[in-house]
Amino acid sequence: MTIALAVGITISSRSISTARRTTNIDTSSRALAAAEASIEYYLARPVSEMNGLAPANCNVNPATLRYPAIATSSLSSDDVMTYSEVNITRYGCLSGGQNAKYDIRKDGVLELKLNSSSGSLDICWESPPGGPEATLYYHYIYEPNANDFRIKKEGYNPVGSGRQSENNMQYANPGNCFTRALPGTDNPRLLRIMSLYAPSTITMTAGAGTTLQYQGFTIKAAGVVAAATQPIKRNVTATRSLPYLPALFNFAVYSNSSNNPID
Amino acid sequence: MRKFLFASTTCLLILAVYFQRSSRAVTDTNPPVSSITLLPSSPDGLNGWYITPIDFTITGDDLESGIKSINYNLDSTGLQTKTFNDTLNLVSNPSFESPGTPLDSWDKTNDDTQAIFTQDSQAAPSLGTYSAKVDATQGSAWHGFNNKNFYVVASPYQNMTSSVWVMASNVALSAYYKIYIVYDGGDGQNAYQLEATSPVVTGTFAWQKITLNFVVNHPNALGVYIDLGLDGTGAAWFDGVSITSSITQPSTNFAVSANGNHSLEYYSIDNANNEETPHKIQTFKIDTKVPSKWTNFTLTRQGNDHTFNVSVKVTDTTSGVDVSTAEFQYSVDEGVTWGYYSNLLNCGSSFVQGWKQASSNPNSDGSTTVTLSTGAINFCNSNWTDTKMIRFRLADMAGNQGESGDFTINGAWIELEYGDVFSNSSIAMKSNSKVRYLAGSASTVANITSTANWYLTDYEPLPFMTFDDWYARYPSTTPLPNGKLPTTSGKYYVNTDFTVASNTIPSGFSTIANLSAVVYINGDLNVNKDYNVHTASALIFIVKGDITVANNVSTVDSFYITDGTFDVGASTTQLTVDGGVHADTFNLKRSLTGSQNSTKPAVIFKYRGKYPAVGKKQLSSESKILWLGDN
Repeated sequence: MTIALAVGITISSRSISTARRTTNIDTSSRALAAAEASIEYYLARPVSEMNGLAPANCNVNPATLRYPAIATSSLSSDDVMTYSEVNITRYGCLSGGQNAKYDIRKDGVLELKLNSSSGSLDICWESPPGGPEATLYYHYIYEPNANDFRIKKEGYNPVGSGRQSENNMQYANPGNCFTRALPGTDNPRLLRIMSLYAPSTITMTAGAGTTLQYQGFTIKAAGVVAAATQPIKRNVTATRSLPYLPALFNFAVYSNSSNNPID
Repeated sequence: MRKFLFASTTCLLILAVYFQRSSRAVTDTNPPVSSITLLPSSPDGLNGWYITPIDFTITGDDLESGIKSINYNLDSTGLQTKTFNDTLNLVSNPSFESPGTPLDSWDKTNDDTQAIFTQDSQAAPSLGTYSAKVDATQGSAWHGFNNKNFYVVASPYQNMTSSVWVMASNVALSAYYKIYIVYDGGDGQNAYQLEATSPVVTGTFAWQKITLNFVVNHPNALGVYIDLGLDGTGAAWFDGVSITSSITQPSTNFAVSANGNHSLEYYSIDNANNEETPHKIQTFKIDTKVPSKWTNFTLTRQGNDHTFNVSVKVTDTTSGVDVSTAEFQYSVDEGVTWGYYSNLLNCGSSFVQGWKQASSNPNSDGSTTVTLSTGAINFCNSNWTDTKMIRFRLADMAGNQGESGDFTINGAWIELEYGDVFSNSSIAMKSNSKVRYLAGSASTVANITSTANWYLTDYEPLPFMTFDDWYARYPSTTPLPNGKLPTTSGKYYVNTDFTVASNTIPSGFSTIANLSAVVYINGDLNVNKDYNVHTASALIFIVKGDITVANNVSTVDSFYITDGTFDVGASTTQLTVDGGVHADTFNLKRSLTGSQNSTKPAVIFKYRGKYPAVGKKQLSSESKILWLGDN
């Protein structure tokens, strides 16, 4: 009898413990799902709406948004309320001496919005070890007169790569760095940097007196399950850049056929 | 009692043999030796160049403690190391340094009177001073010697490796070795079973290594022994015998395909941490690429309006060009016959079908970029509608021969202002074309000159987004208003062919500023009328079918993306494309009349910065998602 009770208690304890673990897992999953859902929602919002939700400048504490906004829509079929607390901020703002890092995949493009910034940008890059170093090729688009969009292009091979004999582009300065001047008279608009041959991580440093506007939004979401016995929050963060055209738009003429030449 | 004593003695004997084998290689002061084989074994090009990638195999030999690692460093890019386990050589007197009858730890396999077994002073490179020689003068039977009485202890079903260095002289049949399993015959006696036979060699050859991996395939196995020898007559030398418990031979294999001069440093380290010194160095050079980048095709008039000195620039960045191989040929009958007039200035002279020597500047072998010239050629008349063409060919110092495309004399050409050009196939313009900045392709670039002198060749194809890709990402069901080009920004969808014509271009269309529109055409797009958009506006067509520009059209102003062909027709009207074109294929057959081709492009592509600045509003945005942990 005593043994049976002991077994019963053991089984019960295990069942309760299992149930508790199951409940915690379920709560955690719900919280994560809520966070992810809010991220997906804000990733799809128009830039104009995001501009209204984020503080005007970088590094400013944002208001906390709730997603879904309507409380009753947070209720699941089993009356468990889940929602997400969302903060939207801007990223990429730079002023003289500050730097930011960006990753560019091979043959991808990083587009920086210059928004009439003046001064200069010091750009250095590196590629993952063990593979080839990237060559950076940029399009600098400026609008010196209204509706008069102009382009300057430049390419830089990594120092010591020997690649100049292949593509005839110049070598970068030591440390794989170069400077892009942003004359005020240019009314600089965009800097599109393409990473050829390999992916790269770019460190962008604003020159003295240079101010660079934000480049996108950071969305931080904390999924919450209300009234959970053991409250669990799951955090998800996403960044969303400002819109840009894919790298292929750098080419005026592009032929996809692998069999038919351009002739 | 007697049985007990016999069993005890037998056990002690077995233990003694085991410990003799196990403790054989306690001291090892001899460094290992590496050898290398290349495939191809020697340069398959000219002047010491390989024109194909090379497959390398580095093998380590250590007859005592065994190979611990093989190390190599290609072009000082970083040491690569491959390590090995259980490579202790379990064979006694593996290099035959200790004499005996015939050699210490080795016995004749048969009472063989038709062969002589001796210790010989011709040793395999770096494997001691001596080898074992079998010299058979008669008989077709096996003439062998073995280490049966000093067999290697092994477990049933154990994986093992073996190797032997062999040299031979006039071996009529085969020289090789056999692996026998030693097993308990059940009556206290050892029994033997042939387990494996190595590859055979025959004839006369220098030292080479034979290897054999095997499994000790017997449930009562005690060990293995090796029987070295030859069938028939001849002389064979054996050296560096190895049997190990390793499951792989101590070797590493890799290929090198990068073009250029290379230096490969390699060496081995044994399990006693003896490092092979000096490290070995293998130098080699590879050039798999033909001379390419045929650019700056130039006609320099020499007298009348159909006599030119033709020149072209070509590049070979690896082995450099062989100027003696520079040649040209031309055709004055639209490509029917190719060759040259015996008197280049006289079309009445005999026409030779073949290639003629071209001059080169600089005129030195190994130059990486040269300009080839023909001297003055009379192309017989100035009727340029009868296409006259010329082509060049040139080999590099490695022997790779490259050939230019066919250049059309006074043929039509294209120009790209501010835009770059890329082909996932190649660029092979018929007449010298121009691009301001970058020309690239997945293979070669011919007859297009970059003002900036920037080229990408043999570049990995760039990814293309099809109609379906774009539509999946940025869908729209909004029809064109009144079936005409849009006057307000947005994405639009047409589920049929669409024609740009007078009645589909809204009134005042070119004056609409800040228009950013994408029009999906789930069919063909026909452009039958000139049109422009405002300098601050951007119109992008994404077309499922083909895009055809009518012969009479001279100006179009959009960015075009099509899964099909961009066809500008074959008229004599110059076409300006203000924007850009991404297509699967291009049909650029416009050609200007008279001698206009000599000064004007037939098609101009004017890339505009407004597309990245303005046109992106409907077709862009990329997101990164970073996931952080819980709190």
